[in-house]
Amino acid sequence: MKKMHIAHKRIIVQVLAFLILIFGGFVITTNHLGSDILPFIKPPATGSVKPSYITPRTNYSEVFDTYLPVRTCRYLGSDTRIFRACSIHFFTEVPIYGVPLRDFLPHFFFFVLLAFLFSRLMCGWICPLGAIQDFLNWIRNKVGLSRWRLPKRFYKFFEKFRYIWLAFLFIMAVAIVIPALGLVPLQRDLNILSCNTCPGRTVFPIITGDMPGLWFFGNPLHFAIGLLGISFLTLFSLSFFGKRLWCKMCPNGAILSLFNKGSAITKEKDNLKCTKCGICERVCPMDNPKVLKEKNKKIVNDYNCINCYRCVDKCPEDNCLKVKFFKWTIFWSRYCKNDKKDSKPIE
Amino acid sequence: MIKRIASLLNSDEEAVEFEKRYLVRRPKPRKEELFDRYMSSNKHVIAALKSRSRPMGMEEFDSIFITNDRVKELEKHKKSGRKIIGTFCNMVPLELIYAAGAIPVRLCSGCKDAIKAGEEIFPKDSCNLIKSSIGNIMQDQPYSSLCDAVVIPATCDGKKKMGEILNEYKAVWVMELPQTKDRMLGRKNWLSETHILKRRIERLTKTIINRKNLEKAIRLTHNRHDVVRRFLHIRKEKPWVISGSDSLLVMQASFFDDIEKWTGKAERLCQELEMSKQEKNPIRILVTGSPIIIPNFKIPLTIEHFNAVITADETCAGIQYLYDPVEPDEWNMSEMLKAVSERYLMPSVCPCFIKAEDRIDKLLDMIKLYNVEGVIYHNLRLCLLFDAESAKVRRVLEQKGVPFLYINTDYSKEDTGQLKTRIEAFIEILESRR
Repeated sequence: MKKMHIAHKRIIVQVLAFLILIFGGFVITTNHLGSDILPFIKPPATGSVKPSYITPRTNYSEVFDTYLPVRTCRYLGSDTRIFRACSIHFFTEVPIYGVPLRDFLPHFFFFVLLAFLFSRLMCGWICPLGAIQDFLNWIRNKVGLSRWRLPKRFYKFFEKFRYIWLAFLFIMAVAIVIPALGLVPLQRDLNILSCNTCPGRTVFPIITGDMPGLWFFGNPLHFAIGLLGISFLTLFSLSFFGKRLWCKMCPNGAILSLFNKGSAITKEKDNLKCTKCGICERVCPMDNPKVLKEKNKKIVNDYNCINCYRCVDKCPEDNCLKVKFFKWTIFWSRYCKNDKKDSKPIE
Repeated sequence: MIKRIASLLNSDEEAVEFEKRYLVRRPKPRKEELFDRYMSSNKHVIAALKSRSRPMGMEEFDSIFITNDRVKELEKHKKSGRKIIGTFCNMVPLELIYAAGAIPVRLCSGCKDAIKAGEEIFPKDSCNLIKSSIGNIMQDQPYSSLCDAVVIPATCDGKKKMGEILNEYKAVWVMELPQTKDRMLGRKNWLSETHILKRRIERLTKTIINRKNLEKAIRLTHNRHDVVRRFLHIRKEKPWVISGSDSLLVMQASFFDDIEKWTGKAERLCQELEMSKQEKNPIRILVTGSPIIIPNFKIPLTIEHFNAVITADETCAGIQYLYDPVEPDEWNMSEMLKAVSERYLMPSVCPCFIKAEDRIDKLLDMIKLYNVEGVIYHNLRLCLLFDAESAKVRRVLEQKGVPFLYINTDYSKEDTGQLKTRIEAFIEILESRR
């Protein structure tokens, strides 16, 4: 098999990011670095907004007072966290806390800057949920089971559905603050829907040694939300068989996808060198046919791509696929001899 | 385990089957002199090559064509129980044959003397390659007489009808090729054909193709593929170091030769070529079109008689036979089978597929990469497919400003004089453009 230049680097970055984002709080224990640029956002003094059963058991002593557009969760069982939470949590929490625009805008611009510079590179290289899915796949490989490829209908459904779900989250975040809609009494239950239905809420506490807390019973609303949460968790754990099934549904990914086509990181293809062998489509974890099928344009970014660059790694032609950051080439495909196992003479 | 039992119990209802209700077979005696004539034509070609300067490593490749050592080796293998499977074209998955312990032999023939027998049951106005191959099989010539089965992908019209006629002499397995490569339907069908071929091979050789031996077979062909890429890299950097006819000989030796021995010989040749220090500057030409198979080396010998060298070729019996790798995503059975079946379908630029754009992409890339000065388009007479694509290729190359020459010929030696004149004129044009 071909020597994988990019995959080695990616595994190192993924493992480092996983350790830092989840367990970093145990190591780096200084007080939060609030500043004028990214101001610290305090919860309201009354504290009556947060429902009791989903309170995280920490106090607000994070190191960096901001949010990343990946699933860095607030439900970690450590006493300190490196980042506060993921951006979807931030956006849905803002209306309830009544955060003034002066405090909100810097975090928002920081998010837009990261999304423009790196877009879905965060999904492929930094997100801890993505790292867990890749790890599950590695286990499946060792055990010897083969990969599921779902029919294209499923993928098309998820592509459309995730935007509907994202819009629903934002609408609910705003709707429970407006008294005229009559949802204010249900604020406790409908708050931070994205966190309650995220698979990270059950997975991350387990990793850091805590009890996951999903509450089904109480009233029908809890039940409905819990059911949705369980179904997303099933999708996440089914990526043991498929590859990165949760990434097709993730709301964070849905926002970052919108930036994928115009971001600073691009993938380029030289159509004359391409032999149309189809390897890039077959090894893609998101089953994306765009790199194979695009024959006219040079830039082959796609909404669904998580920038893992397996296609660039496995392409057997020299300089056919390239990854560029602004105008500097970072990765490129090349033909290289197969790994050591192949160069031994066969007995 | 269950899958294994199921695969053995599955009957071949879905495979292409011939009904033997009407037969046209004419028994013919085996002629020893035909093989001797084949070997002597090869000797002529190799003598013509030896008269020029040639790398020393080429002598190891000559013995396959001028002696019958390899035939005797194959007879020994057959006696000890291994099966020999004949193939045609580029699209038969060879890794399955290696995995089951059998030996593949490509039966595309370039021998002019076998055409006469083929014309008795195949139309006179048709492709010489097909008539020659039929003549070889009808008269029980050495390589084809040893085959236990012949696999034919249904590429062009001739190959489709050839399967039906040859079925009376040997067991023929036809694989239906999709007409386009873009649609998922076509790829799915080709994957099913690969599964059917796998079952047929398992039944013939009585060994099951499992994960271990398929992985071993893929690594075998990986080794060969590494050497081929190294060889092509040398031809790119130093085109004068080995002539195009010799490179065609090297590639066509892999039709018959044992894969590990061929890989060893080619590696030694590459080492010798890398250390060579000659300096010359011949005209660089690319040959494309119908396959040029030994001993039909009329065109390469004529071209290189003058001060030119064929640096690259886009023919299915030259570079394109061994160019693409098999890259499985993971090393389990379903992914490996998918990788094997897609490698033999997707990168192929045979004109039997409906679209010509992929072949033009490849030609333009090769022209830039190998720094080619002129293109010669070789068409075997009466081949409709290559002829039909030549118009498009000519137009595109005109727009890019690359000189183009169209040659329509067949296996006979009557037009050698004419060819010499035309090629000489073409090479003079190229020399004056320098």
